[in-house]
Amino acid sequence: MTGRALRTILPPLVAFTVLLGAWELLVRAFGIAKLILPAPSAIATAITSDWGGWYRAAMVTGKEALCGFIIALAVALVLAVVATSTPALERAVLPVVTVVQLIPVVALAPALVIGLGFGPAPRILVAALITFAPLTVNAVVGLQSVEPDMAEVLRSVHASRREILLRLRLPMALPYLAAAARVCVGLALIGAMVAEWQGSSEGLGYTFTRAQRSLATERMWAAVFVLAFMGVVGLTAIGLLERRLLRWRPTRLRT
Amino acid sequence: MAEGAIVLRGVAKTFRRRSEHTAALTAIDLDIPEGQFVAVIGPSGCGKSTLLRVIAGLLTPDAGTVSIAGLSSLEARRTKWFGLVPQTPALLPWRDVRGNIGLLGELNRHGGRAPGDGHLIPVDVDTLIATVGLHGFESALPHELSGGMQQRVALARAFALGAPVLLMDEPFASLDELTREEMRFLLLSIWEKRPRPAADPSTDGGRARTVLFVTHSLEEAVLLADRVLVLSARPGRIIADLAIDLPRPRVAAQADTDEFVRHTREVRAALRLGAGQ
Repeated sequence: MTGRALRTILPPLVAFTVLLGAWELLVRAFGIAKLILPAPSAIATAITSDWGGWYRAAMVTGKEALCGFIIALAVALVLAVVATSTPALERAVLPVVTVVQLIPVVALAPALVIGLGFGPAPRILVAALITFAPLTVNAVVGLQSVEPDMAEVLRSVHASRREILLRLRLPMALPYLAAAARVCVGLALIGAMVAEWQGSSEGLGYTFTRAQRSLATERMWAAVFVLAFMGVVGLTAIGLLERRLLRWRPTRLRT
Repeated sequence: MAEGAIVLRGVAKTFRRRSEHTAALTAIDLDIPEGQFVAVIGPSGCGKSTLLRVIAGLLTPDAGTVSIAGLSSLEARRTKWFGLVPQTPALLPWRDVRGNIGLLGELNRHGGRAPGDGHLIPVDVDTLIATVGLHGFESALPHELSGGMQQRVALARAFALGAPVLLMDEPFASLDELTREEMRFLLLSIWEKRPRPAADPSTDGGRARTVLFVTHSLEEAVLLADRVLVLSARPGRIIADLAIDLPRPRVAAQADTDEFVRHTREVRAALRLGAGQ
């Protein structure tokens, strides 16, 4: 490990260790009941005693979140390209996106289960609906972030609308999409997990509600921790993608 | 050549935004022969940039006709007749120097004409990079370059296609004084290398490069151009059409000659008149 990598990883590692250590001490020192707040060690044991089970549950929820995100991204891109083609369409599309953003999508999950059955469909739909608005709004802003001078240079040689979209507008939108994707990692995972509370027989949300029924708080906390860890994995993946695709951005603009 | 490189007849352009009408250009008649370097000068907001955009067909005039060597603006754009240099370098940030200079060649592939078909011969990208002084920076990304270097790339991009007409919209306005002066002479040196109308017609398809250069600097206009057009305040009309007969190649020392001073005085007087002072 190089010195630079160590300097990047060490501070957060220390912070988390201190935080969890304080938590553990607090629980032990005051003898806090497991039902109120389980100790980190108890949560860790809950995870390590059943690696296979957690892995399977995480994969189920992760796949739902990823599918939902990909569907939302595809719809957002198409919608953003349409919306930015004429001002009238933009005025038609953006209010719809705003309303979708205001719907408590998670609360909608039970209704979606009735309509879509007990398979992964309602969970994927919740993950898609919850990430759709930020992706669309950022895609619209990104596609419009083209400097007029750049577009005119391309138009001066009669570049087609398609060429301008592919060569100029979509690459310009990439940093905006990356920023939206960072927000959406958490949203998609939360959406998928909460949607699993109703009418599901697998996934982290199912593990969570089953643990709740048996008052196994350490397993409930474990489910939340596994979900958070998946978020970290997702953010890391996006970071790596950004480093590859957005190499051209000045470093100070990179996140 | 029967048709001038750029011919405008009765061109007018009004911008309409809701109930607000802004007349930008009115009654523009203009004949620019092939190979001429024409500077356009006028008070801020007088429609200089609009004139350039109407010629390029990026804006449609409300009245009048535009002819580019006998072609419409649209046909001229389709056949890659224009090299546009906007006010900002407008480089694609994800393309390196070579990629930005080659960009326009990759677009609208079926539209361009063969060199013998009226175009100048497209310039070899590596030669061009050396000419504009960017040798060694071929793989640099725009954000790694200074403003002056970015504008060099923009200049090279416009020259790369071998376009017969160069349209430049205050390309050096945002640069510092020394860099600006350097860029002016760089532009002249590339342009003067092209055959003038009197030169051997067997080279470069026999065409000379016509330049329309929008600027708000009197000295720049007189230093660069064969001819200075002075536009009035909005709506823009051509109120003076002055020939600048300073010998070429132009050099920095000419700015101190009586001839130069006389020309700038002439242009300044026309500008004052146009601004209504």
